[in-house]
Amino acid sequence: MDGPTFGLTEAQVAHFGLTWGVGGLIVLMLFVIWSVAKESQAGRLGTFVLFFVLAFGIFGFLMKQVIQWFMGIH
Amino acid sequence: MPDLPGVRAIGWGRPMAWLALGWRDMLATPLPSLFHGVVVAAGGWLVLWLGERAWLLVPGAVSGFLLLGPIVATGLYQLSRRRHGGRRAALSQVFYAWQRGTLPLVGLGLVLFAAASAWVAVTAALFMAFVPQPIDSLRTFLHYALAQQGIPMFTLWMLAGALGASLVFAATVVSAPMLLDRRIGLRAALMTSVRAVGDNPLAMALWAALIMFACVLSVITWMAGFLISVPVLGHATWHAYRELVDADAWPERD
Repeated sequence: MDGPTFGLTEAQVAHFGLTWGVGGLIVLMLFVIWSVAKESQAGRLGTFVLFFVLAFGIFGFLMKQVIQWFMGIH
Repeated sequence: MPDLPGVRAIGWGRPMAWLALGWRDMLATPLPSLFHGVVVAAGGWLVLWLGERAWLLVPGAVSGFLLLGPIVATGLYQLSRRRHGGRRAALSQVFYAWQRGTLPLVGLGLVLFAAASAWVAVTAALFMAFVPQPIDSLRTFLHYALAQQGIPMFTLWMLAGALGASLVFAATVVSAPMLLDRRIGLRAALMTSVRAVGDNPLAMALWAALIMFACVLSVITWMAGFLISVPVLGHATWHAYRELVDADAWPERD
């Protein structure tokens, strides 16, 4: 379909869907973590998730730097 | 029989001891252990090779790898298990463990496969929304995944990935060796694993960080690091399971 839909361009629709889509996914995942922790009576699973996400972020950005340097991507 | 196997509280530094035990197990049965490293490194090279030639097959190859991963790793658990049970540990037991590939372990592989596929779908959605050109090679993918400026794509991608990975890690960290060792259902094994993590958040976060570190080192050494990291981490996982979980009430497998 060409042209705006309900007064929105395709880029706006994509941006909206993405922000809410990924945001919703992240919220859904937090809910799943919460319900799994509750069902298995895993008291401090939240503490673990917090540390895990931090470590994952640090390693992720480290990998990003290394790969960018290695492949000459800027 | 209780509801779920018992879980023990451990000191936060225990993962270092598991690595040492894993290292010792690898030296005790070097050939069958290193054989696993060769299999995984070969899988890594296959992914790189596909990245150059048949980019579209890469996500499938990665998911397939996760499907087979738990079954491949059972060989290492079986070696440690037999050695510490005072029995002979050789390559034939590895093949026996692989071939037995019990139904719950196939189920575990399917859980990982589903998680990987969901992750591929999220990545594809992000790329379709943000990237103006078709992604036709591993290089283009990395270029856009890493070097896009001005939009928080990388951060969002990492956050969603980290949350999903933390859940997968918590559910699987000790369930694969448990399924090899005991006659227990998949659901009970996954729940026990989550409980072991929730009772020991610091130790298990350290364990996760050590595994990530080993994987980063293995990838940046052009997959060669997997030759050593896979056997050591596999044997160490067996010791993590033995220390964290008391499944004595469940019947042993042969």
